[in-house]
Amino acid sequence: MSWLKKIWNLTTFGQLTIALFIICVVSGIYLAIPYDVARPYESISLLMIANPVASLFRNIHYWTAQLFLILSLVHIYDHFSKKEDIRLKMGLWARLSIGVLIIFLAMLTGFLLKGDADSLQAWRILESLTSGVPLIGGLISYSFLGNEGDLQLIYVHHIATFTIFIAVIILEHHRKFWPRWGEFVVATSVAILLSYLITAPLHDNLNPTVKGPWYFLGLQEILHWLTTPGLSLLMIIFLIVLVFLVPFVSKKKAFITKRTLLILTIAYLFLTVIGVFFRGPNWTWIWPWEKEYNYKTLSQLKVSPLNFQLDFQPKTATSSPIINGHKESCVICHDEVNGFTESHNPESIGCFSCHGGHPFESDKDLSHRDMLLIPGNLTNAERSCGTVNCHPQITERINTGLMATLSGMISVDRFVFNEQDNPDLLTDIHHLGNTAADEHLRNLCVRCHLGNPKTETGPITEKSRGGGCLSCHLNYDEFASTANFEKQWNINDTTYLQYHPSISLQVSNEHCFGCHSRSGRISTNYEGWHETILTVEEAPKNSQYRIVEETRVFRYIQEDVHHQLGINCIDCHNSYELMGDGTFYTHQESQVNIQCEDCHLTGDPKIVDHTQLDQESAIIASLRFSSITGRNYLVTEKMNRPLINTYYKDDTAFMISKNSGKKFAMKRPAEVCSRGNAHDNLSCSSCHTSWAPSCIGCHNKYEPNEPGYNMLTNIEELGSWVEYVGEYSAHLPALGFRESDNGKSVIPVIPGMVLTIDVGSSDKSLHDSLIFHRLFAPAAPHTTQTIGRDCKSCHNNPVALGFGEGQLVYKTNNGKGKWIFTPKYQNNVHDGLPEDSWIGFMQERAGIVSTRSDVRPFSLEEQQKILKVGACLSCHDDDSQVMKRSLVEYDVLLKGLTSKCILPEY
Amino acid sequence: MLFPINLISLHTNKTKLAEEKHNRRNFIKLAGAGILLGTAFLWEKLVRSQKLLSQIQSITIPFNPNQEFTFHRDVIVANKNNNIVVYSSKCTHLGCTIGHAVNGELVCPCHGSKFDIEGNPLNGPAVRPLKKLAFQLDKNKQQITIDL
Repeated sequence: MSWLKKIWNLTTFGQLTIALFIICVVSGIYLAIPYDVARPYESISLLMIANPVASLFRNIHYWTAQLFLILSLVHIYDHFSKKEDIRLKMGLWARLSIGVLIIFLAMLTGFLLKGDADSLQAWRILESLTSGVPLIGGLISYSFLGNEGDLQLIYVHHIATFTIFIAVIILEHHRKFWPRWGEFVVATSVAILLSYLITAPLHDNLNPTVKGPWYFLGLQEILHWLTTPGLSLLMIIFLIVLVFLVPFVSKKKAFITKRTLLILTIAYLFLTVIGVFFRGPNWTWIWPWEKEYNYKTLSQLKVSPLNFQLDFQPKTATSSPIINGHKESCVICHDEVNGFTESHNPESIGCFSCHGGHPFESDKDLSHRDMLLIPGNLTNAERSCGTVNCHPQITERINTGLMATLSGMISVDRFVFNEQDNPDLLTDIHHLGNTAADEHLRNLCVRCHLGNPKTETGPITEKSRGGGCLSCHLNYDEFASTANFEKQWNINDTTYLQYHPSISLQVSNEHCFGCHSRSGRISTNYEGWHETILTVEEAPKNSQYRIVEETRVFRYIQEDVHHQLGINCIDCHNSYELMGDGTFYTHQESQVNIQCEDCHLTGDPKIVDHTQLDQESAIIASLRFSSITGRNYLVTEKMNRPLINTYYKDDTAFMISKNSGKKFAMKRPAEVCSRGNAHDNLSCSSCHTSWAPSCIGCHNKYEPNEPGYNMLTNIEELGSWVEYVGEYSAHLPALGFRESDNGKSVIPVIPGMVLTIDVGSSDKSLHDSLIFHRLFAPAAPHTTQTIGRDCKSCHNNPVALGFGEGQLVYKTNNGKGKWIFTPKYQNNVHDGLPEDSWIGFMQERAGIVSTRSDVRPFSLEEQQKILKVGACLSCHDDDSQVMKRSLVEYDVLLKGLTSKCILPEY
Repeated sequence: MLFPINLISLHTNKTKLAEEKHNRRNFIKLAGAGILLGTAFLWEKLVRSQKLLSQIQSITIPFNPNQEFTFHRDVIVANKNNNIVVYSSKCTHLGCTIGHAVNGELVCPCHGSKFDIEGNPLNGPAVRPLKKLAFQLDKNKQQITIDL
């Protein structure tokens, strides 16, 4: 401090301290005018927004108090460091020593009087600490803090008890109350400058970081490590005793005591720095380079000059709604915005809850600083949609879902690049490396994930990819769409500020379409469209053809019966499937919860009543269908999740479409589905799929001069993996077996990865290496038809058996029968099998031959069994009595064959 | 003869005066202590009465059977498969209000203590389980009354 004294001759820092105290008291009197002890938080937010002079006085009150505290301690240090003895009477010194505690208490009560989230927690900490004092704890606690939620007593202590005590001890030891003129001017100037530039903190009551005042954070750090917090009170008493002892012990002891105090103060400062700069939400450690560091630690520090020119009438601030206990400047200016759903009405949640920014600023630019133009992207979901009071449970788990991880896609791609031993490893898009497979994914695949941010305003369309919560929940009505469109053409058109898109539960098929019209093409299949390799110019101009994303040509085949009825994607796929359920899954079939039998009941229904719904399902059900009381719901077999748009009544299961409200009675499976026991292993989709897309002859090559796109970073780059497609076709799918611990089941499969990869084009060290794979993939075609495929479409169909297209003929000669297959496609040079086949005719393949380890083609024995029935079907009709009997007593029939019946010999 | 007598009497008077002063000081000290004790007694009585007058004995809040955790300023209603337990919302470390759950665990925002749905501490600094409160559930009215 000597350098300061050289510049400006001070006896002690006491003069400055007194000046600060007086300014603090006076500014406090002014602050008392707008401050309302009955509505503390609201009144402070109101003055910050609409009463700049009051805000200035509040800042002065705050800053002079902080400086007063600091300089009081410096003043003590200054006394201790003086060579000459300054003898004070023991009683006075005792009062001064206690005065240190009183100063802290005056400051703390000031902190409590804000009434924000920080203050409410601080109140409880103080209550807990003081009431823990033996015998007199309850008495002290109640006399100091009063009842929870009522700040009257604290207000009295702040403005009277502690202030008077401080004034008395100042007067008592200094003998004068008025500071010197010079110090007073300096203190006032510094206070006004600081107050003009830096606003005193006020918690927005949404930020998850809750902290005490800065001078309390060192103690909070100590308390964090103390399982017996009462010890901290002993520490405080110990420190006061140390301060008290300094003048009355021997010089040597005084020196040790002073050094101890100095070391403890430095240690405390160190802890304070940790508390201020390195503690985030829930007292977690946070480094400055971590994501959203400023938001999590220093969000209350606002360095910006006070705005004395309001853009609005102060009266409008009074009539604006109270949100989370405070006033928000956002809704004062944006007071007439339409389009919201009830749940997201700004009258209730304001703008700040979603869009961030600074709700207590009155200046337009300052209010908009740090704002999230497009909230709901997963990068900001934690502090927008997932904020503590809204949907934190969902944002915590959304990253576990497949739409966020893309695990299956990545795992299979790495497997076909021979970078993994099997296609079933759990992977995550956030951990992509720089291998050939990962670069391939970056160039061609990984744009469709929820984490891909939406960067421009506007509705979700077939071109949209990702967008976090918005990818499903954003809806533009007619007005919002028009306004948004107008804004694109005229930046001065501000109509869009009056028409906000809604965030709602109306998740339409169009929301899913952008991503799900690719790869497995579930969305397009569902609507009946099959992708072709035609160019837009080649596409016939009629209703049988459709252009998607301006470049892709689709041909109409047949829509899914559920689509025909008006059932939407979300009628079957519920929130836990779509937003993750907290478990990481490798492949989609593991995460998908719904099964046909959940609605098309084969036995007694599994139902729950409204009291048994989990919280999320209950909220969604009541939002969609009003009261849930007295309702019952079907429950899924696989994961026991309630289907909130179903109910069971009079032996019938019903579904109500979530978007349209249309009601359907859900039929039980036809009698034929369970006739006999021959087809027990068949999944519903193996029979009821009307068609599935098929893509063969795909070649992948890295082209160094091709303009490419990094789908993970959304940056254009030179050099890219390119996919040269072979042929798309649509027909009944092949069938295969899924075998797991839960049993085995016949499922539809389609060519998943029948391709070649020129890895040498990417990695020159591999020279001309070419990878070839013939993998089929389990499919969920979403092309359901009411009548299942006929017997021959499986038993006499080479595609169904995995041989590929061609002629499969059963020939008999001299009492001997034989199957003959002539493939449509030539044999591939890499494995000698027809291009579109999964297995060779009457052959088997070893190893992993599908995109899952647990999916395989029919074995030779199984092929023989199927074709044996196929031989019968070459003469007998599907509906013939003998074929129907064969479902029940196949073995008996085989024993009674006539001479006309010639079975195949293998 | 008078002189010594006078001296003696003076001496005696002085002693008497000193004694009186001593007695007076003692009396004042005693009286002061008495006043202090009396005030302390009254203070304690005042606070005790006021506490009784202002203390809320119980609260009634809506009961949502579908909610795993219902947070209120003073209480947390935990409902695990229709097994309902009500806890004080005060963290057992320092009394902060526990107002949210992360991954099914109750988290104190002040010092990061975590508790499971049974109220047991999972992560320090809290070491004691959350305080359980007695309650009455009215299923017809979907209300729960909790004794504070």
